[in-house]
Order: sequence, then structure tokens, then C-alpha cells
Amino acid sequence: MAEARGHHEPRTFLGRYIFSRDHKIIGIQFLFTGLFFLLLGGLMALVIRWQLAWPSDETHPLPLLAKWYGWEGGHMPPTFYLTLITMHGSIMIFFAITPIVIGFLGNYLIPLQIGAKDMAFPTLNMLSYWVFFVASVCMILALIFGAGAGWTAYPPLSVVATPSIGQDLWILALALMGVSSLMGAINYVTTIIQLRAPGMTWGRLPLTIWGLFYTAVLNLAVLPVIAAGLFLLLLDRWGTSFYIPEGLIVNGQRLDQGGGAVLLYQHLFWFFGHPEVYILILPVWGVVSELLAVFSRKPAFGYKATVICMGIIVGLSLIVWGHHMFTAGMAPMLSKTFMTLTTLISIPSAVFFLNWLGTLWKGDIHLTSPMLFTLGIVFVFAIGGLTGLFHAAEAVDLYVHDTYFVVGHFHYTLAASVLFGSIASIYYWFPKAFGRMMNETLGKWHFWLTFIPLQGVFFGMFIQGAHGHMRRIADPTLYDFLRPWQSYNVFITYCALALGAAQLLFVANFVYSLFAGRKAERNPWGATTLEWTVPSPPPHGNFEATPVIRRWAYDYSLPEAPRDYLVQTEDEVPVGAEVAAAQKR
Amino acid sequence: MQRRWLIPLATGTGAWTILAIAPPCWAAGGVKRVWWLPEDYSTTGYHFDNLFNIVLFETAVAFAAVVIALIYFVVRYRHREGHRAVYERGDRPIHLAITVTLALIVFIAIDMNIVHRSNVSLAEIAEQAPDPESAFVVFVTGEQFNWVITYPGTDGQFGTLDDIETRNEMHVPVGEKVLVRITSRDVIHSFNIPQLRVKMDAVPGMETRVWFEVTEPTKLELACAELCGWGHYMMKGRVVAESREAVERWLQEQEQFQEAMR
Ligand SMILES: [Cu+2]
Ligand SMILES: [Cu+2]
Repeated sequence: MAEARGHHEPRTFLGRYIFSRDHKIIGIQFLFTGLFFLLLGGLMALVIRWQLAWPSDETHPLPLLAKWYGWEGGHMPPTFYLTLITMHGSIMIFFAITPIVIGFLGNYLIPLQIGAKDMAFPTLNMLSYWVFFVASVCMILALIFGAGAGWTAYPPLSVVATPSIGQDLWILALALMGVSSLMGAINYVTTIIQLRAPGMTWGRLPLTIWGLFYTAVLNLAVLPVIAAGLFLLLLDRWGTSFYIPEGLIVNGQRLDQGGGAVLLYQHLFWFFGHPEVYILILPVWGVVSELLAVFSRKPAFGYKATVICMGIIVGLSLIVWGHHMFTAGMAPMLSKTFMTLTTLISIPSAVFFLNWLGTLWKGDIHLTSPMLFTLGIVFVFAIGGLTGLFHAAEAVDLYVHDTYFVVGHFHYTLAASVLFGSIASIYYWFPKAFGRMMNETLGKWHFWLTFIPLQGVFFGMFIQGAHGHMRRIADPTLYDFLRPWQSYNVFITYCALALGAAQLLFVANFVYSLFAGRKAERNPWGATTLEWTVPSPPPHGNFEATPVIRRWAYDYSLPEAPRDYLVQTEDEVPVGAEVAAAQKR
Repeated sequence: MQRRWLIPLATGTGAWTILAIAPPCWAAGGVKRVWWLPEDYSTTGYHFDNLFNIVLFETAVAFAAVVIALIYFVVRYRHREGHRAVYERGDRPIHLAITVTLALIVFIAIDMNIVHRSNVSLAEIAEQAPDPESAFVVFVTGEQFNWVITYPGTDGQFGTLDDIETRNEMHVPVGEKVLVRITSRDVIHSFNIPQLRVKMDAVPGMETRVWFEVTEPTKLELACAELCGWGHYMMKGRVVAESREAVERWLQEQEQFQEAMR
């Protein structure tokens, strides 16, 4: 197998930390940018929650913001609310979660776990980060100028109703983000196919790498489609009419555009939008499978089944997008097909749960903070995945569509599962990336103080949604049928504030450990994968000599091994002994 | 197959069989309303509510199974000094058998069950849909941020001079099928009456349809379910369900009012 193209270690500060081509530095750049946006998006969520709990109650003016903006009665104007929900959604998905689970995990782990010196295209990798950086600047500008069509940006609203430059910048930011992800995806796929160290066969790859590989493949398939869709949307704002039908009257003025189809955008958007969920969660599934094995000291149960099921989900995710459009007057033939295909996703998902529980079964479970968050994912993803069935079933979806039920569902999958995945990964790989351990006691407190209020926040949304509470409304108290449920909004807001406060523990732990944490050894968790064979943090070029891989990634607690793990490069037990041992029982 | 697998396999399959049979029985028993769903005033809403409850029941059982196993394993197999985990890759034929069994159970008891019920319900609703020629027809047009409600007037035709147009107030007869033709003149809205279990997008450039029959005289709220701009939250209408005579009287009032304005 080919070697990573060698590049010399840069000597200047700028070359080493800013315009670096080292995959580890680029990964950390993605991590820090992602964490910044995570805090920003989280603060926005709290402001949204404040508005929903006390929309017209003069005794609860929004702290700080109301004063800065000089809002009458201390409450935000609805246009501001619209910008907030748009920005919270797009920032969290594209600028917080994506850079952490794909940018950080992908860049940092792929070369280290497959035994390569760097990515296949280090310069493209650097470019990928800087395009992402420009995209995030556009996003911040969009936030300042105001963009308001939701994260889905359906036309005609995204074309006609928000004349400010903010919406243009928003579209541009997303398109650039797509370009950056595409560069990353090309790099990930090429690196995993070409640069695996000798002996690192597909069947020996860690499951995190499998998850990242599938994510990159999916990105390659769907990003060009959304890029085209967004490009046409931008052109429509400048006068064309791909999506604008004849004769629209906006603000009493007749538009001279015409001849386009409104639903075309929705098809293009969801062809990307549905797989996007899997793009984000596939690496997390990999991380869950891996961390459960590490901290149960047991092989990843049903490795092959997990890999196959990930592949099945990648395939299915490309042909179910129509379930987002059941209420748009879809022909029954089409909606039945989409419904059937969507429900099928539950089968591979069930296999994941079987394998995760199988890994825990008869294990030797160490409840470290990364493990607590991983077990947390199994819990919250069970809720997130199962509530997907309500939306798959067309007859139920017609009722719960665009209510808080959907909001609860995708927050359990994205905000809870993927966020827990990010946090678990940070706790787990922090010692490798920064050479110091994070504080375990703080980590455990962080888990419980996050896990409990999080249920209050998102489970409450199911109950509200079942009652018909519409999403994206700035003032629920206007509706008689929602008024008895307003106390729920207040309850959720209190839980959200607690959830937000708990993250201060994480920030404190992160910053403190970065400078004063206990020094980490090479392999603090006793794990088997290659990144733990190099110093923490690994030097430029990662490995002194190209490693030779002798076993798969999950040889934990082999009966004849001297300790309860064998690193992938170790060859102490004769080949074939493990098979014999497995059959003996 | 080893014997120690037989008991869990048998109890598992048994539990899931009960799971597949119980909800239909429950639904047939006519659970009209549970506290988490709002009051239903339509003749067709029970279809949605029943399927909602069935999915809720199935997912609750599956969730309970996962969480019980999760907690049990974490407690039972937590780290103890001098204890080693079992080396088990989970790739032997017995594991394949368990995986396939699980897949089949999920496919039949959950997936096909839900798909089938949803199809039957929606087909039934579509079959009972009123004839546009003879039914009580209302034309609803969404605009930022109002519902424009149009009645055909005495000639029964839309787009003629005697059409009656109102804003954000819709009167419909009780005990009669009402056909709603929906469109929008600017952005996408969604015609949404939770207490009638009705939701249909108002898409500019095309027409969508939905029908309902209200069971008793009542006043309900019409909301917009699709984000349509800053005023989305206040795009609220009123639906008054009353006797046919009262609707006619109200329509006459509207007509006189409209004449006076002209
Ligand atoms: Cu989807
Ligand atoms: Cu609207």
C-alpha cells in the first residue's frame, strides 16, 4: 500500500498551527471551531426557550438582550425570533456537530487508526478547513444581517420574504460548507482505501473508521445535489425562477417570476437532508461500538453485522426522503413506497442495539466518563430512533408533522445522540490529542447533570407535540388549545437552563485539563487500536516506522493473553489460538 | 442450538407475538381519546389516534426491552477486581440466528404492522371522500399572514361574482362532509386544525385537498403549520361548526356585508 505523501515538518508558528497540513492540527482546528459554534448555538437555544416560556409576560424580560436592543416590554420582536430559530438549526447542524464528529474525528483519527503518516491529500485537507472557516464567517454575517426561512429554507419564503443580504449570505455559507465537506469526503475515502498500513485489512478496521468511511461515501453522494439546489435558490433570489410559480402576490405586489415548481426544492433538499442525519450519526455509531468494547473489555459484538447494517442504512437513507413531504399533497403510490422504505430502517437499527447490548453482556464494565456518555447514547438513541416510527407511519405523520413531536424526535437523535457522541469522543481522545487527562470526577458530574435535564427538555416536547403544539411559533399563548400546556413550556425552559449551566462544568474541565490536567501515558485506557501505540500527543508523521498490523481491532480479554487487551500490532498469541479458544467454550 | 438460548428465545418470541396482537384488540375496543392527544371532533380522527397509540405501545415495549437490558448488564457486569470479561465476538451461527430472528420480528410486528394499518386507514379516508360536485366545498387560500376563506355563493361555482370571501373565519355545517380546496398566493403555509386531525400544505402554484366531518357544534382553532415568515405564529383562524341553517344565515350576512362594501 502507498505511503502518505511526505511533507516536511513546518517550523514557523503560522505554518505549524494556522495553515497546517498536519491532519492532527486540522482536526483540532475543526474541534475548536465546532465547540465555539456549539456554545453559540446553545446560547441561542436558551434565548428561544426563554421566549417560549414567557412570550408576553412583562415580569420576565429577556436578560441582557432586551436591554441591548431596547425591546419594548423586554420581549423580542418576531423577526428576531425567526432569525434565531433559523440560525440555531443551521449553526448546530452544519457548524457545530459536523465539524466535531466529521471534521475532528475524521481528520484526527483516520490516519492514526489505519496506520498512516497523514491524509492522502494534506493540502486539500488544509483547504477544506479554510473553506469551512470562510463559510462560518458568512454564517456569522448572516446572523448579524438576519436570515429567516428556517434551516430548511423552503422557497418561496427563502426567495421573497427575506430581502436582506443575510439570506444570501446564509445560502452562500451552506454552499461553501458543502464544498468543504466534499473536499473532506474525497480525502477520507481515498485515505481509507489507499493508506492502510500493511495487514490492516477491511475486516480489521476499527468500527469508528467504518462509520467515518460510510459517512464520507454518503457525503459524496448527496452533497452535489444540495449544492445544485442551493445554487438555484441563490439564482432565484437574483431573478430566475426555478422554484417560483406564476402569479405570486407578495406584500400586495405581483412577482414577475414564474414557471418554476415549489416542490422541486423540497425534493432536492431532502434528498440531501435525510442522509444528512445519517452522515452525522454514522461516526457516532462507530464510536459507540468502539467505546463499548473498550470499556467492557470485550470484543465488539457482531462486528460483521454492524458493518453490514451500516451499509444497508447508507443505501436506505438515499431512498426515503419523501417522508418529509407527506403533507405536501403526495400521491398515495409514492407516499406508500416512502413509508415502507422508511420503516425498514428500523431493522438494521435494531441490530445495532442487539450488538451494543451483546458487547456489554458478560463484560467487565468500567464506568469512566466517556463510557457513561456512551451508555447515555444507547438510551437517548433508543428514544430518538423509535420515535422515528411515528413519522414513518404516514397516517401518524400527517398529524404530528411540523409539531414539537418532530422537534423532540430530531433533538433526541441529533442534539442528544450526536452531542453525547461528540462529548464521549472528546473525553476519550482528549489524552491522545492534548497529552493530558480530563478530570474524571468532573466528567461524571457533567454526565449526570446533562443527562437528567436533557430528558426533561426533549421528552416534554413529545408530550407537547402529541397535543398539536406547532413548531417555529414565537408565541404559543395565542392559541386556546395550547394554553393549558403553557406550563410545560416553562418546565422545559427551566430544564434547558439547567442543561446549559451543566455545560459550564465541561468547559471548565476542558480548559483546566488542557493546561493542568494529569499527564497522559501512551495508552491510558488500555485500548487496542493503533493511535494508542504512539506518544500522546503523537509527533508529526505519527509513527516512527510504518506499523505492521497482526490482529483485528477488538482483541479484549483473550483467555490466553497475559493482559486483558492485545494491541493490533502485538503478536504474542500464535495465530489461530483465538479461534480455538472461542470454540472451546 | 444450545439449550441455554432456548428459554430467552422462546420468551422473547412469545412477548413479541403478544405485542403484535394486543394493540389491534385495544384499538378495536375503541379507546377514543387519551390525555396526550387533544379532543377530537371529527369522524375520521380516530384513525390517526389509534395508529398513534399502537406505535406508542410498540415503541414503548421495545424501549423498555433495551433499557432493562442496558441497566441489568451495567449493574450485573460492572468491573470487579480480578474478574475478566468473556471473549465473545458474537459471530457464531447462533448469533446470526438471533440477529435474523430479531430482524424478522421487527419487520413483521412493527414495520409491516404499521405500514399496513396506515395504508388501510388512509385508503378508507380517501374512499369516503365527498364528491366535489355535491359536497359543501370551501376554498382556502393562504397569504402572509391570513387565511382567505372563499365560499362559492348561490351558483355553486368558484371564481364568479357571487363568491363570498372572508378572512380567518370559517363556518362549516355539523354532520356533513366538508371538502377544503387549498392553495397559497405567496409562500407555503399549512392548513392545520389539530382538533379535526387535519393538516395539509397550502402550496403556491398547485391545489391540495382535504376533507373532514365535524361531529358536534363547536368552535375550533385553525393554525398555520408551515413556517411562512415572521408572522407565522399569529396566522390564526377560527372554525365554527354549527347547523346547516346557521351556516347559511352567516353566509347571507357576509354577502350583505360584502355588497355594502362594494
Ligand atoms: Cu428523513
Ligand atoms: Cu402561514
